[in-house]
Amino acid sequence: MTPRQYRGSASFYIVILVVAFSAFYVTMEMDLINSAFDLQSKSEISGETLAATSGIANTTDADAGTEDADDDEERPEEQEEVNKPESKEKPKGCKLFNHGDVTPLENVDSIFNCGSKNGTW
Amino acid sequence: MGHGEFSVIAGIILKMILESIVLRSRRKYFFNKHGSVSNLHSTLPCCIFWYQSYRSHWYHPAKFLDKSCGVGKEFMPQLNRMKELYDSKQLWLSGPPIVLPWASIVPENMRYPNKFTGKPWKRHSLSMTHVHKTGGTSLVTAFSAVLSKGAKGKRHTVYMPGAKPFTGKKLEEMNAKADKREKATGKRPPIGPRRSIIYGKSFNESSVFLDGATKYQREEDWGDTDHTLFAVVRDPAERFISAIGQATGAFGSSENGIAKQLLGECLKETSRDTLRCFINLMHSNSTWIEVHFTPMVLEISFATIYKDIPVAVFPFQEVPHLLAELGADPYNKKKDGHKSGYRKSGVLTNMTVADYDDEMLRSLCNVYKMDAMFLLHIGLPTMCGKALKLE
Repeated sequence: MTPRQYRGSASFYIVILVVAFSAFYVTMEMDLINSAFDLQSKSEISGETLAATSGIANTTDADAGTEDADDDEERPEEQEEVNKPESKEKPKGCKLFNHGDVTPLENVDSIFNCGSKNGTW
Repeated sequence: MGHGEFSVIAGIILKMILESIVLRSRRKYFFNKHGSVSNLHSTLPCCIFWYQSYRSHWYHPAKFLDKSCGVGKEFMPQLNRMKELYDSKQLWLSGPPIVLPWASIVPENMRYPNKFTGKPWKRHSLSMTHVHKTGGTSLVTAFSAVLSKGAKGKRHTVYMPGAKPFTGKKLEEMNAKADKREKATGKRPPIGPRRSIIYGKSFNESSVFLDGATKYQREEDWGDTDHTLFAVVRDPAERFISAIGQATGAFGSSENGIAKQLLGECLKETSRDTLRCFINLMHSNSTWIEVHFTPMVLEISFATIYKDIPVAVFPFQEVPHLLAELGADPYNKKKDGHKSGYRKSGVLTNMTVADYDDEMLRSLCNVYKMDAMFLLHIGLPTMCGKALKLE
């Protein structure tokens, strides 16, 4: 095999490799996006269910994020307390919660246009 | 193209692909675990050749810390503690003012070209929330400098902390001065530290100013009160080392009222032992002891007055590009902790992230868990991700 043929073969295999990785990557990216949307709907459902059964959605500033499953098991009286009949106002849960718009402005070339493909130097 | 060049290019492409796969996998794990999808939409049209093109990220501090549904809702107690300290005028005593520099650039009004980008000035309005130990001093200085080149703007002050009570020699000095004054004028001036200014005129002006914060706009769309607010962030493990250097009396913090005490308590023979002591100190005395130890999430929320506004977040590595965008020398650091003599001891100057062992890193990351979750939430890597098993 001459050096030229060697380079030709190497180039061919590298191109194949790059194409294969690209396909794999694009699949992964789509999978990630799909799973994220699935996850969003799942977490909305579980969030709502949780809120409906425990009233966690109505936490105050002081107790937000301090719930502990183990503690709940050890304190049956408190468990009874949270299982009281629901109030008329239904807990909203996180179904409609907006985590914030992170989309870039289209066709604007600036580093401050966060998330845009042109936001580079 | 020769064989060598071809191999190099192919190698770079492969590296990019592999690294981006790892990055995406980590993010996927984080999203699965914490249920945040906020940054995913921006990756929809992603192509492999855009690798690492997302150098800035939108962050919504009020949403991140929303008490019901925010990704960081578990940190509400710390946020509330900060509000309490502010209301009692005890927040960050003897620390620097919390400022929001702003510059509105109109190309026709600029007196000099931007020699650091080599491109024409862009018409836009920018402001910054100063996260300490992330290159902020250089950027604040750059904001001032661009005003002298023709931009319009101002440095808003959200909070002017008071000073700690006088003790020891300082108290003796102040008493002596007061005695002299009393003898000369017959009136004894009050002795006491400067008090924090809360909900004052500057605060109200800053609040109105922040109401104009917006996502980036087209050149023709900028209104008079619009501005895009940005912040620079850094890996908590790295930032902590820089904060130690600063809080122990580096340039700008010699009057912080705690530097000597910190050095006395934690300066050991080796960088590792010193670092370990400071980490333990965060657990025993909290991050409130000095402003530079404050988690980035809290700093951003405080400086944005808890408003529901977007913040453009840049990783620390992008500071040179931000400086250039403001027409400043990208490599002129105002504070360089690794410069000989800048920090109070060689042990501090030579401290690096290599001084963390696994246990120390985990312990430190527990203190800064909110920052780790914030960085992962917006898609930036952090050493704390693995340490806390967040990714």
